[in-house]
Formats: sequence, structure tokens, C-alpha cells
Amino acid sequence: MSLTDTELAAPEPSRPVVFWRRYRRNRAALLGLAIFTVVVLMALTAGIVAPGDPLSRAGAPLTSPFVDMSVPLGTDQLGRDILAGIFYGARISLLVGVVATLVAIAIGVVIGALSGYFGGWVDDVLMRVTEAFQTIPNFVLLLTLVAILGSKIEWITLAIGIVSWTAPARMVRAEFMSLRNREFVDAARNLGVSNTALIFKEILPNALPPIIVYASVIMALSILLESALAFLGLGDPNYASWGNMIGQGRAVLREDWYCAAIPGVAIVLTVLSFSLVGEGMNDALNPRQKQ
Amino acid sequence: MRLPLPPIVIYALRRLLQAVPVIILIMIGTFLLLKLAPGDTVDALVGDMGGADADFIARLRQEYGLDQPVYVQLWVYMTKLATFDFGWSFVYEQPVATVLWDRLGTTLLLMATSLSLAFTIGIALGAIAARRAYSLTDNVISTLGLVFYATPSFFLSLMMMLLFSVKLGWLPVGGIKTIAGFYTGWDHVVDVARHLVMPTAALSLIYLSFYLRLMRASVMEVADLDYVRTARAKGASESRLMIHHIMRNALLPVITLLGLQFSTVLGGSVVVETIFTLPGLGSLAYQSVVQRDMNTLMGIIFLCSIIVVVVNFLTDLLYARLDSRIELT
Repeated sequence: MSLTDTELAAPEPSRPVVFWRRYRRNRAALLGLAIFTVVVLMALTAGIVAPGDPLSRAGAPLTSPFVDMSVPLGTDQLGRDILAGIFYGARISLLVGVVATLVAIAIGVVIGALSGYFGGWVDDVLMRVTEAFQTIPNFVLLLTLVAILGSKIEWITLAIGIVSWTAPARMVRAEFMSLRNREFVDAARNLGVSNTALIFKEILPNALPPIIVYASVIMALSILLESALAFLGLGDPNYASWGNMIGQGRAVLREDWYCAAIPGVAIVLTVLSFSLVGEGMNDALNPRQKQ
Repeated sequence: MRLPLPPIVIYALRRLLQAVPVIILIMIGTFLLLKLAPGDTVDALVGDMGGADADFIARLRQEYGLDQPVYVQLWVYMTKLATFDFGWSFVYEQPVATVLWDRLGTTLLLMATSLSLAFTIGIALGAIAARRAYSLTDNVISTLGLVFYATPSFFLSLMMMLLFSVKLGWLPVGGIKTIAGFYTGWDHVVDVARHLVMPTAALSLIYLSFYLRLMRASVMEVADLDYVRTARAKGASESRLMIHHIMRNALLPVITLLGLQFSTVLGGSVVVETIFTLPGLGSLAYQSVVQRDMNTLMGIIFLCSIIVVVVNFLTDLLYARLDSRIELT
């Protein structure tokens, strides 16, 4: 950058603004963001919209939707308010999604960074471990972990994180392998910066953007895994969960199919919003990738 | 080192050797999980007998080698696993290997039908969408792909059951065959096929969407390459271009994904088999968790891992066969 450049250039918009402008061009991504916002709002306002325990009886069992306005989406076979279940379920889905994703990315970053930075035997050992985790069907491993740890929501979230870290680990490793010999890293190394500082302060910030985009995928998969566990009746029984509602709705599928259909649509829309937002972020971060 | 073997065989042997440490790690992993699980074989045995005195329990532990140091136990466990001896199932009162063997066929059949369906329809739709990129057809196909991707298999299963079994009465709700049917020959095949329609659809749609999206991107990328333009300039028709020139290269990433995702598909069979009460490994895994049958669960993990390794090996060979740029030696 020479001095004349800085004099002539118009004030550049800040990075978030540029990002938003690019993101905005993708209409599907905007739709995804809108749905995502609604889900977050539902999770935040659950206590206001439906005060009290969502697992307690709110009206006559199996009230159809739009009949009784005190329970607008109807009730299930135990008389529980489906609307309340959807709102509180959003809370659990988002919570499990976010925390499990953080766990998965934390494990993935550590394994991938060590593997990609040091290479050699460290890489060999860690990659074999990663392959072993990829080889075991992840849902079977998840079931096993839940069988061992128990069905508390904390353990379930941790277990989902443990079965989801392999993809981010591979991504981080690939990024580290391409970055570890760049000039800025060499320069820092020559200044005597320690390995730990090189990994976390120099390389990691540059390796993170693709991982952040991929986080939307992990989050969507985590929500699907949690709902599948809850559907099978292996979730935490103390919290309302969409998967559990569908599982319960199975018993009354013949006549009162809305009990399963409403939470099902909630899951589909939530997961859909994650993938739309993820794609939008990807396009906005890599504008050249799209033609 | 020069061996008088064709390169493909050397390549295959090397790939198999690479799988060995992974399998050993999985053996150690299952052992650790068994140790982490509350209760051991003797607890299960004693529970099964309805209790015993402490002296007898100590003798049992000795007999099962549970008083040995952990590394000895690990070694014994690994040598047993290597011969597919998974121990005794206290729920089924049979060796675990026998229980697994009975269930294996159903799961493999479900895997084969689901993956073939997902793969063929996925690449066909993906190719069509790519050739008509940004048209109405493409938008419809791509939107469908997104929706399939977001729909959990258990929800899809229930909705299909509601429509095709409850409302229309076309398909059976569950099981692998009509119980009192006693069909033979073609009737039996048709009967099993009818039972597999919904599970196959439920398991394959999400992967269909993966293959569709990847195939679309892949075809669009390959179609821009110089050699395709050359072929077009030489007067190759669009269909010839697609089948002879684009497909083969565009398929490569999809095949990689097929291999990578196989273990996830196998995991997905847990939910689908449980819903449709198919007697396969997946529903067995679920029952083992509910009944705390750890030996069977570990057996399933190990057997599934072996299947995944074998499938990955086969997809690698297929990949090497399709991509002549890969150096085999």
C-alpha cells in the first residue's frame, strides 16, 4: 500500500457490511435467515407464550388444532399443549445444536491442528483415530454412549459432539497443512514464537472461516441426531423435544396425525434454514466460487 | 520392491494394510466402552441367575479372566474379536455372533436397495439439474433436494406410513415379510420387496439429496472443462457428451462421498429398521441399548465397522478403476 493509494481510495465499507451485501443477493439465504430468526425468537419467548411446564396437562387430550384457542395447535394424547411443546422444543434443539457443535469443533480444531501442524507420526496416529471414528456408524456410537452415560441432556449433547468432530478435524488439518509453511508463519517462527502461539494465534484465525460455515451443517446434523434419539425414547424425559413429540405422536398416527406432523414440520423448517444460511454464508465468503 | 503382481492387486493389498490399524483402534475402543459401561459379564450372568454369594462371584470373575490386569483382558478380547467371537448375549441366550448373523442379511439388503436408489436417482436428477442450470426444472429439483435433506428419516417414515399404509392401504406397516404368508419363490420376493419399499425410501431420500447436490455441482464443473468443449466442437451430440465424456469424471466425487457416507447410512438404519420393525442389525442395536445388552452392542459396532471398511475398500477400487489418472503403484 503506497501513500497515494490511501489518498485516492474511497472509504471502504467495513467487512460486515460487505458480507451482508453479498449475503443479501441470495434470496433463499434470506428466507433461511428469516426462518432461523423465528426459531430463535420461539426459543427466547417460550416462557412468555406458554408459561408453566410444557409437559403438564393444558386441555382435553387430543384436541384438534384451531378448535380451542387456549391451545391453538391442539393437544396430544396426554392433553399437553403442542404449541408449548414446539416453543420449548425450539429451545432444546437450538441448545443441543449450538453446544454439540462447539464441542465437535473444539475437538476437531485440536485434533486437526495438531495433525496438520506437526505432520509425521502425530498426523499418522491422529488420522487413524479419526478414521476409526468415521468407520463406526455414528448413530450406533451415539446410542452406545447414551447407554453408558445415561439420558441426561448434558450427556446427550456431549455425546453428539463426540460423534461429530471428524469432519471439522479433517477440514482444520487440510487448512493447517496448506498454511503452516506460509511466509507469515515462517516470519513469526523466526521471531521465536512458540508452537502453541503459532497454532492458535497465527494459523487458526486464518483456518477458521470455512469451519464456521461448516458449523451450520454440524448444527443441523446435531439437531437431527438429538431428535432421532428423542424419537426413539432415548432422549432426556424432563424436557420437551420435537423428536420426542413425534415419537409420542406415532401412537395416535391413525386418527390424530397432527401430533406428529406439527413438530415434524418444525424440524424440517429449522434444518432447512440452517442449510440455507450456510449456503448463503459460503457464497458471501467465497464470491468467486459462484459463477 | 518389485512383485510379479498386477498393479491393481498391489494397490488393493496396500489399502487393506492401511485398514489394519483402524480396525485395531476400533477393537481397543469397543473394549474401553465395555469397561466404561456399568456392570461386567459376571454382573450380567449373576443377574441372570437371580443372585449368588460373593465367593461364587469371585470364582466366576476368575474364570472369565476379569481378575487379570487390563492389558491381558484387552489382548484376550482382541484375539476373540479377530475370530468374530463376540461373547454371549444374556438377552437372547445365544452367542452374539449367531444373533448378528441372523440379522445381517436384512440390513445388507436394506443398504443395497437404499444406496442403489439414492445413487442412481441422485446422479440422474443431479445431471439433469446441471444441464438445465438455473431453469425451472433445476429450481424444482434443487428445492426438492433441500427439503429431502432437511427431513429426518423417522418423520418421513411416519408420514409415508400414514399415507400408504393407513390411508391408502397399499403397503404393509412393518416387518420383512407377511408373517402367516408362507410364500415361496417369486411370491416371497414380491412380498419382501413390498415390505422394503417404505424403509428404502425413508433411508435413501436424505442421501439422494446429497448425491443430487454434489452431482449437480460436479457436472457443472466438468462441463466447463476444455476437453468437453473439444468433444462438442468435434460434433459429439449432447447425449453422447453427457454419457461418454462428462459422466465418468463427474461421478468421481460422488463415489468418494458414497464411500465416506456408508457408515452414516448404516447408522441411519437404526431408526428406520426400528420404525418398520425390520429384523436387522439396526433394530438390534436399539433393542440392545434398551435392554443393556453390551456384548451384542459391541458386536454390532465391530461388525458394522468391518462392513464399512470392506465397502470403503470396494469404492476405492471402483474409484481407481474409473479414474485412470490414479497411480496404482
